[in-house]
Amino acid sequence: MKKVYVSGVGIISALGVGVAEHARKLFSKETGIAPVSILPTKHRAYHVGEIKKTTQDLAESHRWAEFNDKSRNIVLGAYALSEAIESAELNTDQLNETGFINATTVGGMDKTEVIHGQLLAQESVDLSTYLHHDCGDSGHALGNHFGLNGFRSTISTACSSSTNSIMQGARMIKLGISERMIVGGVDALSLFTFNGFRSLQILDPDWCKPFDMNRKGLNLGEGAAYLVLESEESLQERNGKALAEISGYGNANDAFHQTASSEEGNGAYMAMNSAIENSGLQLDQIDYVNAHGTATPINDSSEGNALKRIFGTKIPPYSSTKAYTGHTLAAAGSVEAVISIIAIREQKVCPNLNLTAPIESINPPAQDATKLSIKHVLSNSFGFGGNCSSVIISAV
Amino acid sequence: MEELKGKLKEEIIEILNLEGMSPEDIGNDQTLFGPELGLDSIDALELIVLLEKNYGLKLKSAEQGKEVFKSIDSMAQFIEANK
Amino acid sequence: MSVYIKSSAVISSFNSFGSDVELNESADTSFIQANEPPYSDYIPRNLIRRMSRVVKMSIACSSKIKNDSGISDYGAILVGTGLGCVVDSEKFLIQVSEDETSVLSPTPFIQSTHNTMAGQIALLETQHCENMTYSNRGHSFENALMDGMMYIKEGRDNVLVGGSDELSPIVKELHQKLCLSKPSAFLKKVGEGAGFFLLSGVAEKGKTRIEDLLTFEVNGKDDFKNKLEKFILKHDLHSGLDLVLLGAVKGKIDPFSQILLSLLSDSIGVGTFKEVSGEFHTASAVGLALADKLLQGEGFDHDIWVNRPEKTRPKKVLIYNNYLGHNHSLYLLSV
Repeated sequence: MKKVYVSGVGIISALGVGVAEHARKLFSKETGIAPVSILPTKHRAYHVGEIKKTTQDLAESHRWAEFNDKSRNIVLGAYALSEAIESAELNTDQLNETGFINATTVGGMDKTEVIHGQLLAQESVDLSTYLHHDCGDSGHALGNHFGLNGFRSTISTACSSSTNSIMQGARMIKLGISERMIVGGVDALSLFTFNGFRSLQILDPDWCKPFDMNRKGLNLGEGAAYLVLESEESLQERNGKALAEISGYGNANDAFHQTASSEEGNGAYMAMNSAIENSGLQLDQIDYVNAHGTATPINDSSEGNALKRIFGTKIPPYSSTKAYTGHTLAAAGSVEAVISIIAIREQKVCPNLNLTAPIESINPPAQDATKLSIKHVLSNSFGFGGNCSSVIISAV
Repeated sequence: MEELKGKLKEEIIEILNLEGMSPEDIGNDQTLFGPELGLDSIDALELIVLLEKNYGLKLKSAEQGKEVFKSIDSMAQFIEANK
Repeated sequence: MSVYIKSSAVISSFNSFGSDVELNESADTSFIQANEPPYSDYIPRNLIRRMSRVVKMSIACSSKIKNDSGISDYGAILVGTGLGCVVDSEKFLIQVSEDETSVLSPTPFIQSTHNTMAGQIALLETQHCENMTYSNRGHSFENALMDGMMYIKEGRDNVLVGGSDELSPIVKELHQKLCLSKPSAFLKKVGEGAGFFLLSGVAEKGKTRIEDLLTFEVNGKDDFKNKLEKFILKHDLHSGLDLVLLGAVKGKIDPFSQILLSLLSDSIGVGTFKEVSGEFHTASAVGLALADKLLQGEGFDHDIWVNRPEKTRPKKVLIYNNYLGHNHSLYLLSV
């Protein structure tokens, strides 16, 4: 079976821009979450994982003038994508034949929200703006800008979207459909998702507390992360360097409720199980689990139960990094895949934040950046619609 | 009180889209979150919206919700007591 | 590795579920509404109450496939949708725009995610298999279909693949404005609908075989022509092709479709499926279902013909589609 390597990574989130800044803050337990400052909501006290610059400032500071009036998704995506391309050292010709699978749930929602207000107020509307509403828009805008002219696709499976894009890219390489794929996802904060989670009463207005007994809900975040995936042949041909390997993936449906996870974590259990089977690894070879760990009462207990069903009493060191970045929805899977690669590179576990009374159903999550031999990381992402996905990322 | 209960049933059927049901199908003391109606946690949130929008009443906690949304009787009592 | 369509179901403006209703001709001439079946025949009452039309159309199609094929254990569930649950999205957006500080009804939000269709099918049939949703403009359905073909290659069977989109008040309003303000050779009546397919890798006599699926973007008309010529050469389409089904309308064949016709023999039958489906991101799912009907010898009553094919039951069909001049796709089908 063909192997799938990661040859480049890029990331932007509330923690900052780039892999280096993420590594530094993750291991010094510095969160990116703070009260709202950019999102035009009236609920200013809510804590969110926000990138503290306007879309226009973000575009201009990179001289991406063509993105000035575009959705925040496109601009955040451009930051992470340009870093991924640079770190993989891909030239124009190589990019031209590279496939791109983007993942998003909000698409151009920030722009649509403005149009909606104008329509309601019966003001004149710039129709071309609405053409950026759909989820496919950011992938095509980014693909065109960076000259990614291979196969293109966009996945939208709620909070598991970008984990699925990693899985999809890896499958295409294994089947020999493509030799090089850029995969990952992006989601900007929007009034739509912020108020959506608020209406479900699963936002914690303060700092979220993953795997704590007194957790109240999640902090919404925003960000983008991309990974360059390549076959061995492609790497050899261009003298590229592998940073990590995608050694397994699994996707299963919880088939329990549109939004809530089953208490026993069926979907989560099956996704992890199928990723481990797919990798051919033994359970005791998994060194660290980057949990979905949203800090909602239901997710963390359901995920904990699924971990217990997989690993029994020997659950590896695990943590949620949502208390650093917030829940970045469609981007969460690729953001956490990049964080997993950072953990492998630094041989350190990312500490779980804001824990005062850890849940008792399983052993507590890792709270310190302990030095550890990390070869294989399991990363989980679960979403609405019962979508549960897991990937295994390994050292090379 | 009976008038209020009838109105509540109509409102619940409408906001929860209980297609094919009429107010007579819901007993005053029937458990709302039992197997017959098949309501879930999302419906509970919609009932909170209903109390706030139509009656100007806010629940203090999810625990209070469990008590208030037991049946049409308990909902009507809560509304009467807090008017 | 060949991929076969074991069973298909479609909802479009034409009657496809055996009810008495005929073509759903709207009084408004700028959009084409779907001819919907009686949903309560296909969806349990306790589940139907929160579903928007795009979800109901998708579930009705998957239920019909289950009834027709007797299969409800899927190898994977893969759905493509351009705008997802746009009606629920708009409902929630209106709440947020009107007063963000008031208490908001969560139902339209939870039903607004693009993966609601695939998720609800899994929930209804308790299917834990791989579940994916693609939302990639005019390639949303093609991405799902290609994934289905990948799963067949990986050894799965009975993979459910579908495409669906719904019209919404704002989509209609903006489309009308767009047609008025910026006329284009590619703008057509806007439509909605769903097409679902049960794929299998096991050859079954008489079933439609998907020989090839190609999705591509082009850089000008010459590039388009080159790509077509390669495809035509690869499959030797100068002979043996009975019918080409275009994602166009009769009176206004778009420039790309015209290039394709210029490369094919004059004697080939030519049909236009957007005549009945209207334009939407996943209209090609309706096109594929229509081609499957024709290949299965079911015939089609409505006048979609630019050039009526000689054979009443074609053996080899080419579908060509683009979305507003982008997101090109070619399907080669045979029995």
